[in-house]
Amino acid sequence: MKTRKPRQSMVALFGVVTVLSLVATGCSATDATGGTDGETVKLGAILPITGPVSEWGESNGAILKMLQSDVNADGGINGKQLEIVIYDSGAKGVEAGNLVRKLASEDNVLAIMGPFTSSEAEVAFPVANQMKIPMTSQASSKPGVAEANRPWAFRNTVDESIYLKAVVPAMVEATGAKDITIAYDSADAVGSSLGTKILPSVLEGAGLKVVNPDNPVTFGTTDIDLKAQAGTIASGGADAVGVGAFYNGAAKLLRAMDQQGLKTPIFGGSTLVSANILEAAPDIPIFSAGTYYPGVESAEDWTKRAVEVFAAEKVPGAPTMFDSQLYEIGLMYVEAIRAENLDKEDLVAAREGIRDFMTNLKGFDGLTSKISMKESGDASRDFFVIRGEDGAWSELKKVSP
Amino acid sequence: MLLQLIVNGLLLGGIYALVALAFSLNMGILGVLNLATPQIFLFGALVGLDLLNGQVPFVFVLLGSMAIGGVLALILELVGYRFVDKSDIVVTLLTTVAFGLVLENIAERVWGSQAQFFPKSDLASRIDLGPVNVSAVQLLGIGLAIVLVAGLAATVNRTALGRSLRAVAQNRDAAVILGLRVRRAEVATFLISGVLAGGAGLLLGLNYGVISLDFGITIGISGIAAMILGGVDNLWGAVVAGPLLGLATVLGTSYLGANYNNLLVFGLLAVALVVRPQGLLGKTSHHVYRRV
Amino acid sequence: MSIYQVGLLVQVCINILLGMSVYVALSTRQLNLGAAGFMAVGAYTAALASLAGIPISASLFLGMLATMVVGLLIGLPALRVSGIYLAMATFAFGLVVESIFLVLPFAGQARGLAGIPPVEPIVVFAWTAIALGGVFLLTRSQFWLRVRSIHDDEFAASMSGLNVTTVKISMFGLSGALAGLAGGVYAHWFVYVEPSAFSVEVSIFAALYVIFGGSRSFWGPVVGATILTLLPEYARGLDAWRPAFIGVVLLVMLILRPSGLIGRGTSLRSLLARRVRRSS
Repeated sequence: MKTRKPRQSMVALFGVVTVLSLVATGCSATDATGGTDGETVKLGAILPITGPVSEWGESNGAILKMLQSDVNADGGINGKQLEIVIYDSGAKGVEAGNLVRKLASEDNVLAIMGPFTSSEAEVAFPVANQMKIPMTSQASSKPGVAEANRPWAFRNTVDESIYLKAVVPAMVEATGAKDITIAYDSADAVGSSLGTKILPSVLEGAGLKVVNPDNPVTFGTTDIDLKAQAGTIASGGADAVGVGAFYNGAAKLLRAMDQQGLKTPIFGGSTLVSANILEAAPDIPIFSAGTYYPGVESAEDWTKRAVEVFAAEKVPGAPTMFDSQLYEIGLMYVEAIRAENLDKEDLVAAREGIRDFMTNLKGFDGLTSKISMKESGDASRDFFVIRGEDGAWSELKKVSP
Repeated sequence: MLLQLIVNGLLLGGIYALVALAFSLNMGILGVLNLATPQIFLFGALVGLDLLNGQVPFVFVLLGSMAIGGVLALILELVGYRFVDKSDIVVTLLTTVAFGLVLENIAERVWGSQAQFFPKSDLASRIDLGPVNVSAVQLLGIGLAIVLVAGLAATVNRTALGRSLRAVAQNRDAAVILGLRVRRAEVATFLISGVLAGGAGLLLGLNYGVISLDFGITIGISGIAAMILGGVDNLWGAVVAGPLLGLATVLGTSYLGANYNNLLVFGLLAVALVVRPQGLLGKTSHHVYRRV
Repeated sequence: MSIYQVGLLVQVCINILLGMSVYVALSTRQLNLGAAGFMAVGAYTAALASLAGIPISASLFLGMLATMVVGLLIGLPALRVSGIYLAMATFAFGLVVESIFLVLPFAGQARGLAGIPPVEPIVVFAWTAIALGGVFLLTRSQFWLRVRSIHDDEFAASMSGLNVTTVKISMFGLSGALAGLAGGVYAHWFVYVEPSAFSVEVSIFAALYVIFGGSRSFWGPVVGATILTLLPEYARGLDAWRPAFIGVVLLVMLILRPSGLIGRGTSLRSLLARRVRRSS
């Protein structure tokens, strides 16, 4: 057993920690100048670059790079260059909350894009209201989150119940389903809302029968063995499964169903849409909805450029609706600043101006639809019911508000 | 249906048993709770997946996963465990935690945090045995657990290495004084536990067709739970407790729902730790208190 | 000081309280790896109280009280186990608490509790100062001598007539109370709680703050929590590699100076005095 003299090890330790800290600080040169300093206009973004949904965060980051160069190539904003300051929240609410404060009070950005998950939004949106800075999420879809945080919080997403009201009839039309099993992630906030409230009410409204109303199939996000759940689904004899979960849990369920030879189609809201879920069980059709999918006609050019950017940034996979929705938020902010000449030094006026622009948004040209902002803070827009099978998403129909 | 659940649970338990063995070796012989075991497990699965996608024959894939597990555990021993005060439980524990943090970060950067799907393999396909079906992988899991424990038991009881392992388990300082090859025993313990964890990871991935980073914490907790329930210093305890725990998990989720099941399992574990910390098959309680 | 830095300070306070929670239990050789569980009890209790209309400070107090009771209740069976087994038992306890909140109907389950009334930073600092002040006085009191003797040799302590049981259980109760306060503050600062916020990671980091900062001195958890909370903020440039960076720093620390930064019996004055003497 080694015994060093306390003072020596203390010195050694301080030395090491100092060196490491210098390395770390050197790597994080944040520019704490004002939001508009004559040369640049700053926007902020909070993305889940590390953590459980890091793929989404990385592709979001690449899309923002594309946005920045697109805007600047187009002459910038009233002659000034756009700079997007991006911070990683790791999909944690605590980080997101802190980062709103940082972006608002140190980086002095005009507005913030993000956060991604609803859990983060529950923490970050109230802070945005406290700091009086507009904030728009590109992916949060837990019902009511923006509504509870007026007037500074917005979401460029469609409420899951609206998605499902369109998905269910389309699914029935394609499969003739009558009896439905509900399966959901009981450890997750969005999954639980979907499984216990939204799905049952939408299904009732559509006149479909739920085979397991008092005993829905549940699983935890990190559960490994889903054979039992797949078995329950098989023995329930339903024609389709309504899944309330993010794609990471849903994909595991699909794989378990596939292993048991099931071909029962599943359906759900936008939380299922990803490239990853398509790999789980290519034979099982997935009915879902979203505002974008690669291959959508109205955004062909954008998709092509995004794919190139992804390749250059070494981001795997294809662009998702969260990338397109994020890009649209950027466009909205930029348009707000241009139209109202908000690029002057007055931060308060700029932020209020952007907030008002977002609140009164009507018929804004998004990538795949015109977008208006509802009173609740969620977006009203066209979307597509899509079907995932054999490794790709295809459009079933377009739905307008 | 119930019968199928029972079979699934017991066979899931085979994998739990392997992980429990990995924990048990470190705990029983060295008194250290190696919380980097779940990450080593994941690496075994992920590297195995890469090998499978590279069309490597299954036997070599299994060996590869076990090898990477062994190598990582070895690195942990050489870089961390070797230098710390073995009698300080907190520091040894946190050393493994720190190592686990690094491994997890590397895994996330290299493979991503998405679920990785295993190619459809004949090994995972169902074999019908009357009213139930099993897969070759499931049987391999429990078979491997039994074979490995038998092998370990033989090693521990009959070889010189085994003697030094038992001596270190009983009293490390005395073993040093007696001139036993304590370092070799420590290295061997880590190596074997890493091999077990890596192999178990591959088997799990093959069995469920998917591996995801968030499995780590579930596997870790289940492995520790099985180790405790079976008795920390009893290798056969892990083989018994693993399947029992797997059974409880599968039946619980089916009949109680995922959330209540967690409550049940963790609650039982907490109670077991207090009421009978030596587990089902462990030795008498005074040994438990003196060990640490 | 920007509001962001104030926010960081609040975060530091929460973590100091968590570290202190582990510290007081560890002082009697009881490793509490279930800090997150206690934190959750405090957070939910305080949150539910506030949502029912009770003023924030009163809610925080209620949270502390509830968690202290839980700590005392846990402290009793904890006497039966020691060392790593106690650590694992408290670890299991933390998991049990997380599961309980996933099934309790009035606690929002997976959806969590939103809309908790926000707390002013100054209130947080005041509560933290009071709690730390209390613990500090405790460590300078007669009672603490009993704690130290149990730490150094429990058997001898019990042989010399010390009521080891009382001391150990009360330390567990205090451990609970401190983590409960941390939870209450967390709930009112981040205005949203859900079960996954009180994960295993939180418990492990609480222990890390103490070991990193120094497990034998009151200032240990303070320094440890401060450094380990602020370090990731300064390492933002490393973004994707931050966890590995933290892991490496910890490994280096654990190997080079396992007793932590602050040694035993170090008072702030002597720490500064030593620095001055060395430089002159």
